[in-house]
Amino acid sequence: MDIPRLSAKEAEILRLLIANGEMYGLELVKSSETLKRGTVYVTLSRMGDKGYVESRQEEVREGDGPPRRLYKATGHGARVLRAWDTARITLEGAWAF
Amino acid sequence: MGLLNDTQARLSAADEAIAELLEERRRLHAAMTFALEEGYVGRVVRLQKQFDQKTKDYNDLLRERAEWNRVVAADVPARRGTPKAGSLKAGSLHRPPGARLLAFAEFVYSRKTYESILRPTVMDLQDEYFEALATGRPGKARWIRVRGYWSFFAAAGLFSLLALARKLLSLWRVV
Repeated sequence: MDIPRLSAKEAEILRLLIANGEMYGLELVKSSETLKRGTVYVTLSRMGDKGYVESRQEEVREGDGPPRRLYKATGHGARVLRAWDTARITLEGAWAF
Repeated sequence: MGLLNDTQARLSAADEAIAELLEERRRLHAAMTFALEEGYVGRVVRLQKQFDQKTKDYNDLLRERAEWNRVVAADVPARRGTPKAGSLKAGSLHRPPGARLLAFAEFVYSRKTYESILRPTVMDLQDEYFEALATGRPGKARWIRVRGYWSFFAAAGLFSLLALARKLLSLWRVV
C-alpha cells in the first residue's frame, strides 16, 4: 500500500480549506503567503487526482462574471493532513533530543 | 502679455488633460463593452458611473478651454491632436487580457488541463484586471496583466514539466 505523501503547499491548502470550508482558488492565494497564482491550480489539480480535495462549479455567481470553481477538502485529505502533522511533530520532538 | 502667456499655459495644460481623459474613456468603454458581452452586470454599472464622470470632466474642460481661447490672440495656431467639441469617439473593442492565451491553451492542452488549470488562472487575471479598472486604478490593472501572464506561463510550464516527468517515469518503469 502506498503511504500518502503531502507537500508543504498541499498541507497549507488543506489547512485553509478545513478552516474555511469551500474556497475559490484566488481566495486560497490571497489567504496564504506561500501559495502563488501560477501554481495553485496545478497543485489543486494534483490534489484532486489524489483525492485530497474535490471541486464543484458554482451554479450562480454572486455579483458578476461567469461561475467559478469552488474547492473543499475531502475526508481522506483531512486524515492525511492529520497524519502528516502528527508525523512532523513527532519527528521534530525526536530531533530535539 | 503676461496674461496671454498664462492663458496659453492653461490651454496647453488643458489639452494634455483632455488627451488623458479621452484615453481613460477609451479604456473604460472597451472594458464596459467586454463586460456587457460577458454578462458582468455589476461591473458594467460601476464602469458606466466612471465613464459618465469622465465624460462630464471632459465637457467641463472643453468649456473652460473655450473660455481661455477667447483671451488668446486670433492667430494662435490650433494644436495638432486637440479634439474638437462634439467629436467624442468611443474606443473600439479590445480583447480582454489573456483571451488569446486561452484560445492557444484550448487548442494545445487537453480539456481537463484547460478547464482545471489554465482557464481558472486566466479568469482570475481578468477578474482582478477589471476590478482594478472599475476602481479607477489603471496602473494597478497594467501590473495585474503582467503578473497574470507570468502566472499563466508558470502554470502551463509547470504542468508541462510534470506531465513530461510522469511520462518519462512510466516509460522507465516499463523498461
